[in-house]
Amino acid sequence: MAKGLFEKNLSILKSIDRDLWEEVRGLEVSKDLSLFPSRSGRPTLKVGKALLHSAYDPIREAEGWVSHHLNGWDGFSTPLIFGLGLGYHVVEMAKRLDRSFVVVEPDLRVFRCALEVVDLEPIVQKAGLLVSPSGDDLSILFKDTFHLMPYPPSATLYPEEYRRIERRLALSERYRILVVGPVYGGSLPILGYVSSAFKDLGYEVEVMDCSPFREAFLSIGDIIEEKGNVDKLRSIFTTFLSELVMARVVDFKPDLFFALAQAPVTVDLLERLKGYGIPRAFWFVEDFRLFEYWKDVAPLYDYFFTIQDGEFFEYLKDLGVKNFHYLPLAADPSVHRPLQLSKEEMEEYGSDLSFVGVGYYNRRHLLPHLIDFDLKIWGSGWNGLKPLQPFIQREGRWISPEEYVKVFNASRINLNLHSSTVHQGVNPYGDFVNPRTFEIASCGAFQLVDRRSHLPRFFDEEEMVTYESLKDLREKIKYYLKNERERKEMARKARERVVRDHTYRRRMEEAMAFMVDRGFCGVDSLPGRYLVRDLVKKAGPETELGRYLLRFLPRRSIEMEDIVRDIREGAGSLTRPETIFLIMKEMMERGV
Amino acid sequence: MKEVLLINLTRMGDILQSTPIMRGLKRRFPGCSITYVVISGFAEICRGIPYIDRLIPFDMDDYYNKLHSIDPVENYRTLEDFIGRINERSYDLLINLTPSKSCALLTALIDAKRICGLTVDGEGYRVLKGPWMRYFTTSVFNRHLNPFNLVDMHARACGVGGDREGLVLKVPSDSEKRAREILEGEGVREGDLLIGLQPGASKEHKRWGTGNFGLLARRLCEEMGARVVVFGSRAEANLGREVKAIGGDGVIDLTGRTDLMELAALLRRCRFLVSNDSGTMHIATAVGTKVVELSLGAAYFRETGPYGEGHMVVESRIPCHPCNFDVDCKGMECRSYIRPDHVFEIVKMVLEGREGPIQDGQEWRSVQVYRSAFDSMGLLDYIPLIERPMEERDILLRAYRRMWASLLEGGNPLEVLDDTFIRTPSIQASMEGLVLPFKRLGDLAEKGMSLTRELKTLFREKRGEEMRAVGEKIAALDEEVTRMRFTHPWVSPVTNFFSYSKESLDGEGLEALIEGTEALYRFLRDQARVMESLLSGTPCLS
Repeated sequence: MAKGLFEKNLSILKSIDRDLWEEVRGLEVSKDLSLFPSRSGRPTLKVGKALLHSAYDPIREAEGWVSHHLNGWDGFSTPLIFGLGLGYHVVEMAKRLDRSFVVVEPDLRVFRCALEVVDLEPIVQKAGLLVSPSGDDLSILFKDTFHLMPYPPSATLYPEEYRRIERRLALSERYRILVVGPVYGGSLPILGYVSSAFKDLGYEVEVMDCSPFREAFLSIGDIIEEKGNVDKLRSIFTTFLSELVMARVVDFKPDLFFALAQAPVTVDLLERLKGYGIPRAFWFVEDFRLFEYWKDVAPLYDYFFTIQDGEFFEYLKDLGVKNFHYLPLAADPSVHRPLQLSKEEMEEYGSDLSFVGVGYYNRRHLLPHLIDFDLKIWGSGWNGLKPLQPFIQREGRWISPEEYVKVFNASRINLNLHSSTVHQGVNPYGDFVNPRTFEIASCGAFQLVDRRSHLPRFFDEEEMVTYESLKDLREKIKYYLKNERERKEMARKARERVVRDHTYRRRMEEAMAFMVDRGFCGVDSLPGRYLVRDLVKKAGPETELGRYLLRFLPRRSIEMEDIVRDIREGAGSLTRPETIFLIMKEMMERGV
Repeated sequence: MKEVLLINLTRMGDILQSTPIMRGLKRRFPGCSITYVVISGFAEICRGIPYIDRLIPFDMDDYYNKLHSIDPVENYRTLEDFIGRINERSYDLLINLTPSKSCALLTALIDAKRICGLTVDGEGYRVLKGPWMRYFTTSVFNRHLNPFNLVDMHARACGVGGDREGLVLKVPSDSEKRAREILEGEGVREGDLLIGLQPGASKEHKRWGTGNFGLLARRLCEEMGARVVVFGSRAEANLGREVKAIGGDGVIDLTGRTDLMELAALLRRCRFLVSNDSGTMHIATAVGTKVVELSLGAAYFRETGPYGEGHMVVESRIPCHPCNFDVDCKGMECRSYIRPDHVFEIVKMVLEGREGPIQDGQEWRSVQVYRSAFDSMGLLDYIPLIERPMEERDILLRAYRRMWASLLEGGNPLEVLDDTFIRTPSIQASMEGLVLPFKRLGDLAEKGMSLTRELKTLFREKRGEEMRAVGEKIAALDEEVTRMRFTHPWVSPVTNFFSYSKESLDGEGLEALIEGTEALYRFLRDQARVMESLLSGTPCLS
């Protein structure tokens, strides 16, 4: 009997999930698992010492569980059952629920066992099955709105898996994120990468780009000589920009305020965000030893991300900062990518050796020792260094990411030297890894990078070549100029690694996971913005209005403007709810 | 016609101005029941309107606040309940008198067989039903050339009107009693000359100013022995104080001391009301009290002046009057054009039983004075009392009045023509310039008629490519018509009417639309030719 059922289930499985079928068909029943009859005669299951179903009457137990969960169900979210076990409760759910749902079984062995006991047919007619799901399998959670229904024995037996699903569900909420960037500076391009990453992850993102104010901000220093006055005026300007950010917050009503280093954010703004209940995060993409303003701002944020750890973490702890997390830099493979360059571009951007970056103290000392190579220097801050003048491109003007990606692609060797204001070349104590390292690698380009203590966290030796001194550098330049195949192989591996592990998407995923673990759950209500599920629940999912509002899922929250925009985007005749919403919007704006 | 619904979510004055429509409907459809939808703040005044069988108030102020403070589901339900209350009956006719997009949308959710007024099509685009309603809507874009009162435009749009009976408000006896008590309390005796002043108005730009009202009050008290009563809401109490401070002890300040029905009863006791364009002014006309209206700022007596026979209007004769509703004028020069002396003389003239004319002179140069009267079609007109040569604008207004009154009623354009226009030599010289654009418009319209006929043939013969070419020609022609609104602004009443009518075209299928378009060109042709004929004195139609 059991054998017959098993074969039938296998054939069902083959038709719906061939990979799972492959995995499970040759699998023996694990010795840790024991099937035995309950008092009612139905089989029950022990995993180790834990019982997955009632030893008395699993069916009755399942009925009770289903009643309990259907009572607490909102009536419209897709039920997500954690734990299939032998499927009693899932069969009961399929019987009583007139819609589709999803079941996650964390243990393949349990699933194998269930195939002998439960008829899959009624289950798969209504339920999607995720057995021992990978991260990619769980991407389904982004596509719908779920209501988690844990089957307690499974949740207790597999707490980490259960936590993972819980977290993924929390992460799959369509949070609204306002990303705020600096007026100018090195972290400015990161603003775009971070925003794209959040968007890729499915969030609603608004970018507050302060760079249009760069000229005005910097011109203060050109107009005024007295440094004290310059500082005062710049502070006033920063306060103004901060107010601008606040006004953007009021417009956009985010679930998360995510600021990058140097963003114009005043203490007052952070306090007001707190008043609104909007979580505040900061990514300090700077060297904490060089820029000390973190001491003032870190305690004011709910989440503080750093590119350094170790002793920095001790300082943060001493300051009373609770939710800090190491979040290294990365690359954006949609920007930093291999390019097919034309002959003209190769001539313009190419050389044996190139350097892209600002002429910091250590770079100004090291690069003059490389002028016997076919060298091109791109970027600003190189004035006054006579021996380097013939090598400086574009008269030392700043070049855009689009252009330096071409330089990376066109150069045989890209030189990467982390900045230092005190060393005469390589900083022997350098720890964090700059964005350039990831960006060059992401382009599939070859680089020589100065040794950094964190580098092995990101790249293996066959993926990245480092140098420790000028002498070492010169030797390696000569060697790799001669060994093209090795260079290319190294670059290929480095690119693969970046694409796999070091993208901004991965980083933002990690940041969100950290925040969710530390209690982040967005904002439930801001003036004029409402959670879609609350609205549907209040309207009643079975009513005309409730059914209409369901279209806004899986968006997390909406405001009247979103509803009206959706109507205007839709073509054809207006429905009754659409007409009523349009009337409401008109009345909101103009009275009657 | 059994069930009629009127939606009028506007202000008090507009509600009273809808009473002739209701009277007309009751007479035209004896036994019909009128349901009236109104902003709850004005429900009280509806108690005195004898034609309303069922009143549905809507608390707009409260709803507006809720729209900005509570969730959309609750607000949706409120609106749904409101619509549900309206739809407890189904209607043979829905009349929407509220010129807003929200009410136009609302009409789409009402169970009604026929809609009159602003509504929407299935996709939510604005549709204006009926030629008078289209005229009314487009008239706001060229207000200074509109010769008709709102009451007449609305009534004609509803297929009624012309009974010359004015607005109606019945004052309950308890309010009459209370009014007597108030006046007795102020020492007013039967037979005293009582003159009301209304210094407030919904907008600052409609106000003559308390200084002017105060000086007038002083003269009325001192020279005529009148008792002057200042009316106004509680919010206008400061205006009352200011008028009294200047006007002296003869002034009775009743601002904030009456409800609407007491106000109506008090107005009935007044011999005159001197007023800005306001709801109080309409109450006065509705209870049979004569009004002297001060027409300044964006208020325009021809549109919303006192409705009924024998009211007086003083118009500030400044070139920018009436200004547009969106103008935020900082100077308000028009206020100083109308002086207290002007109004005093007018009151004196009427009290002495004189109806004019007024001899023009230096002291009257900044104003014109009108007396209201119904014309032969029962449409309200304002007859100028100061005799002076007609200006271009007067001629145009007169020509437009004649043209619209006939054509919007479906009259034959040939019957409109006559040669009774008064022209002065100076106007004669500029006439040609006025006439030519109408001639051009008439030619364009004829071309449009011929193109649409061609289009219809092509459509029947399924010649798509050629249809497109003709379509492009029509579009270019329409563009030229639209452009003329800017290049020759005095033709804008006609071009605006044409553009709006085209927007509101509806019909099943392309052929019906083509036919509708042809009819619009024909109408445009008739309008332009009649105007051309009237202004040139030569018949231009055959």
